[in-house]
Amino acid sequence: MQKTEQKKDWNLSPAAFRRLLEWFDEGADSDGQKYLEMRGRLISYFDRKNCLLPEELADETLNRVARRLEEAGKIESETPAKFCYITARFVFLESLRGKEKQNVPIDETVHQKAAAETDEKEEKEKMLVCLENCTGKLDAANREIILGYYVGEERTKIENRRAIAARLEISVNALSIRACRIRDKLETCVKKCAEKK
Amino acid sequence: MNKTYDNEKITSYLLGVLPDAEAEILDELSFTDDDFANDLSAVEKDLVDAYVRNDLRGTTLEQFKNYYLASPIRREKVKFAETFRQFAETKPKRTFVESLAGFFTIPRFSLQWSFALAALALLILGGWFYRENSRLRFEMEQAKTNREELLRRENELKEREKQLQDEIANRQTASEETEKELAKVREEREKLERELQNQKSIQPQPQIVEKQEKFNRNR
Repeated sequence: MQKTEQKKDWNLSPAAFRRLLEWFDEGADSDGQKYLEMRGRLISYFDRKNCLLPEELADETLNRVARRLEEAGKIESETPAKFCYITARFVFLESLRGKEKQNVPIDETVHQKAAAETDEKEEKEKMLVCLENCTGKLDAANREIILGYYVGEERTKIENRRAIAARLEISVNALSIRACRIRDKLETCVKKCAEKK
Repeated sequence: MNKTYDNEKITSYLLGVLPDAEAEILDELSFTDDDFANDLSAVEKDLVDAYVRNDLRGTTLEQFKNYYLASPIRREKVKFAETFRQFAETKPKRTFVESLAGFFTIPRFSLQWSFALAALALLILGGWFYRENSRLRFEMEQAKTNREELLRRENELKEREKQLQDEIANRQTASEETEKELAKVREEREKLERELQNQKSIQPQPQIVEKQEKFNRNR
């Protein structure tokens, strides 16, 4: 009981957070990128599991990992990625038990959200302006990739991708990774920009 | 070497129709395998784009609508894909004039004003350069004319110098000839004086006196 209380009261201190970043970096200095990448994977995981609050669950997972690191000093049994997955799975199962009553059927959720999306046209206009701004911030090579990679119907798209990969002298797979990263970056930028407006 | 995964399996996973046991394996891979995480991200984007382009059919479309669109985060991805498609497909078709007009219709005032000021500065600078260029060209023409005049004058002076040198040389020749003639006359006179002395010592003869007087008159 006392232990549970302690767990609930535990807060992520700057020192614990630093230790967590170092643990993710595994000796290299990624400037927090590894942490952000893992947080992104956690959010996607909880989202694929249809959790209502994926971001909160992702942060809860990271808090637990940080607390474990603080208590044990180090975690050597698993890689950071595997340990995060194991922790996330526990958090997910707990959320299923604790929040069953809060779960809303999918159809209902869709209808609720559809009702909230009344100003869709206006929002799209805003997003287009943001997209223009954010694309403008990309360097010329990345802009060319992102505009070429996702354009066209099935056949044209495949040919486009092959042509870009050949021009850049990289494999289609490497191009796909690069294009995905640029799109993720663009999506984050547009999201931030739209929130400001 | 990158590993590749079955796209259809990944699509089923994304649409929530993969059996739990298989889904759990992919859950774990999405954390521990970077190649799988990359493939998952790429397949998801292509799936969303296919929905946006109305390329999904039958059960896949139904699963997408019922499962994928249930999450707000995933709906955001669809919204972004729709906007991005609109943006990307209109982008290459724009003409230069449209792009320019578009640039000034989008509210990014600091950038627009910076460009406008830069254009104005370029215009002023261009005008100033044109004026300077004309002035320098005029000055260069003038300098060229002056140089040609000086060259002509220099040639004239050289010609004159040559004439004077020739004249000096001629005079020197004439002077040398006169000197020679004078020396010859002196020599002749001295000879006569010597002869006269000799005559005086013997007896003065009237013919010699007369000859001497004639010579003196000639001189």
